[in-house]
Amino acid sequence: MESNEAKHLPMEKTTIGERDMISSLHESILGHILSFIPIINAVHTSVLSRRWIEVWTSITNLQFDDSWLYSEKEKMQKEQFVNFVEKVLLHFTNSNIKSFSLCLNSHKYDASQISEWICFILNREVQKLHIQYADKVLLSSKSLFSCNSLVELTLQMTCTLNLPISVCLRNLQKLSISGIKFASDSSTYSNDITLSFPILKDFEARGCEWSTVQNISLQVPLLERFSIAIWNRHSNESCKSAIKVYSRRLTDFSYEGDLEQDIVLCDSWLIRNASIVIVIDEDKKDRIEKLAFQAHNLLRQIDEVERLKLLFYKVLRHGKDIFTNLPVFGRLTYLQLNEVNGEALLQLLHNCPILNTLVLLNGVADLQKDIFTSAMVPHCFLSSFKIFQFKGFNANEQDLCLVKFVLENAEILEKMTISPAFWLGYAYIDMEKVKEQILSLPKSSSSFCMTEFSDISIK
Amino acid sequence: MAQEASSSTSSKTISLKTGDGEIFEIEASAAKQMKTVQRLIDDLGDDITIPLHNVFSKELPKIIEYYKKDITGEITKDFEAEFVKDLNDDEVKVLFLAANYLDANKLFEFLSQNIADRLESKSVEYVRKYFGVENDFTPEEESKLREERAWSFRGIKEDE
Repeated sequence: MESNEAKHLPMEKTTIGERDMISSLHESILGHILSFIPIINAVHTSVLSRRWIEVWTSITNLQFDDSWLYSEKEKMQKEQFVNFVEKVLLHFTNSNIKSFSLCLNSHKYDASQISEWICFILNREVQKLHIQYADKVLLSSKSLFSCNSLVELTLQMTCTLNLPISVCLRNLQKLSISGIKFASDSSTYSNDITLSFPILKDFEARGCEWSTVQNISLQVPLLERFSIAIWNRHSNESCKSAIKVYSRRLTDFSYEGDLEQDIVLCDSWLIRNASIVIVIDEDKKDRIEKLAFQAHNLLRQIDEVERLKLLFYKVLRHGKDIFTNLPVFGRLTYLQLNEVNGEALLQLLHNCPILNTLVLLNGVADLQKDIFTSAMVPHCFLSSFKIFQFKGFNANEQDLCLVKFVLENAEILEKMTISPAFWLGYAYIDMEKVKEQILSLPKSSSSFCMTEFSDISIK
Repeated sequence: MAQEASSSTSSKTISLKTGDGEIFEIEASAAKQMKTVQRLIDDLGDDITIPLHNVFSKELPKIIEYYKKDITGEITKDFEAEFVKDLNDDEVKVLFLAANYLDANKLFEFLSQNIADRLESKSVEYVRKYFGVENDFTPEEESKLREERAWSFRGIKEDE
C-alpha cells in the first residue's frame, strides 16, 4: 500500500504533504471557498501568489451592498464603491455570473450607471438576480425579457417596463417584483399581452402599477403561489386592465388592494389558502356600490378554500352590502377576520358550513344587540365549530353579546381564547369582573374544556 | 469480484479503513452520501473493508458523526455551529480536504462556508499560511499588483 507524500504524519506539524494537497487543489475548489467570502474580501486573494491572481474570478455569485459604506470595517466612499463594482464587473466580461445581487439602499446613483450594470449582468447568463434600489432606474424591457437563463428574479426598484405583446422566460421559477410600472409598447394592439412563465412556481408583485391598455394574460401552468398587492393611488382611469392568471396548480392566493383592477383566476379549483385584504380610500364613497359586486367576484373564485384570511380596512362603515351576496365556502375550516359588524359575521358563519376555527382580530363593530337574540344558529355551530379566538376584545356590550351567542349555541365548541384589546390596559374596566362574567355564561357544548384569557398586550 | 450493493441499505454497515490503519463502521445509507466511498463499494463490493488512503483516524469519526445526523435529517444550524465550535482553523482545513476527497457534498459545502467565515477577517499573510501558498512575487511585483488593485484595498484595515 503506497502512501502518497507524507500524509500519515500527525496533523500538528505543518506537513509538506499537506501543503501540497491544498495548493494542488483545483482552482474551482479554492474559488468555491472564495464564493462564500464577500466579494469585497475575496478580491484580496489576488495578491497571495501568482497562481492566485485570478482565482477569485472563478466565483460565480456576486453580491454588492452599499451598506458597506457604513460598516465599521470598510468605510468606503460612494465613488470608491461605484469604482469597485465597475472593476469587479470588468473581470467578468468574458465569463458568466450565476448569481448577482445588488442592494443600494443608502444613496442615489447615476441612473444610467446602474442601468449599464444591469444590462451587463443580463448578458452574463445570470440565473439568480436580485436588485434592490429605491431610486429611478432605466431598465430595458427587451434585455430583461430576453434573459432566458433567469431562474429567480427579484426586482425592487422604481422603473417603467414597456411590455411587448408577448414575453416568455422559460427557466423562471420564482418572481418577486415591487415598484415597477408596466406600460404597453403598442397602443393599437387590442388583444391580451401574454406573459408566459412555463415553470414558474412563485409569483409576487407588490405595489406595481399595471397600466397597460390591454389585459394581461399570465400563462403560468405550474404556479403554486400567487400574491399581488395593488395600490393605485394616482390612477383615475375608469378602464382598468384585468390580470388573468392561468394556472391549474395554484394553491395559495393572496390579494391586497382596492379591487379596482380585476384579477381573474382561471382554473382555480385547487386554491386552498387565501388571504384577501381590501383597503378602500375613504374618500371614494361612490365606489361602494360597485364594491359589493367586485368583492363577490373575487370571493367566488376562491370559494373552495380551506383557510381564509379576510381583512377589510376603512370599508365597513359604508359597505354593508358586501356581505349579503357571499358565496358558500364549502371547504372552509379556518377563517380570520378583522373588523366585522354583527350582520356580516352572521352571514359569513352561515356561509361556512364546516367551519372549525374562527379568529376575530378586532371585535365586533356596529352591532345591533338584538341581532343575535333572534338569529338563526349557523350550521357550523352544530357540527364543526370548535375553536374561537377573539383578539382585540373590547369588553363592551357588543363583544359580550357575541361571546354569549357563541357559548350558548356552539354545541361542540372546545376552546375559546380571549385577548383583550391593548387599550383596556389604560381603561378603568375591572377585567376580573368581566372574566368572571364570561366564565359564568351558559355553555351548550359538553366538550368545552376551556376559556383562556391572554394578557393585555400591544398587538 | 464485484457484487451488487444490497438493496436494503438501511441496516447494513460498511467498514472503512483509514490511512493509518484504523477501522470504522458507518451505515450504508451514510456511505451513499460520500460519493468516493460509494464508488469504491460499487467496485469492490460492500462486504469488504473499504480502504481510504487519504483520510485518517483523527478526522474520520467527525465525518461519520456528521453523516449520522444527516441520515436522520437532524442537521440544524445549531448542530453545525456545535460541530465546528471547538475546531481550530487547521482542523477544519483537514476535514475540508477529507470531505473533498470523499466527495461528501453536504459536508464540503458546509465546511467551505465555515472556512470562508474564518478567513474573512484575516490578513493576506494569514491566508497565505493557511493555504500553504508561497509568495512567489518579488517585492516590486507585489507592490505593483497591490497598486493596480488599489480599488479593492481602499479602506481596508491592514494586517494585524
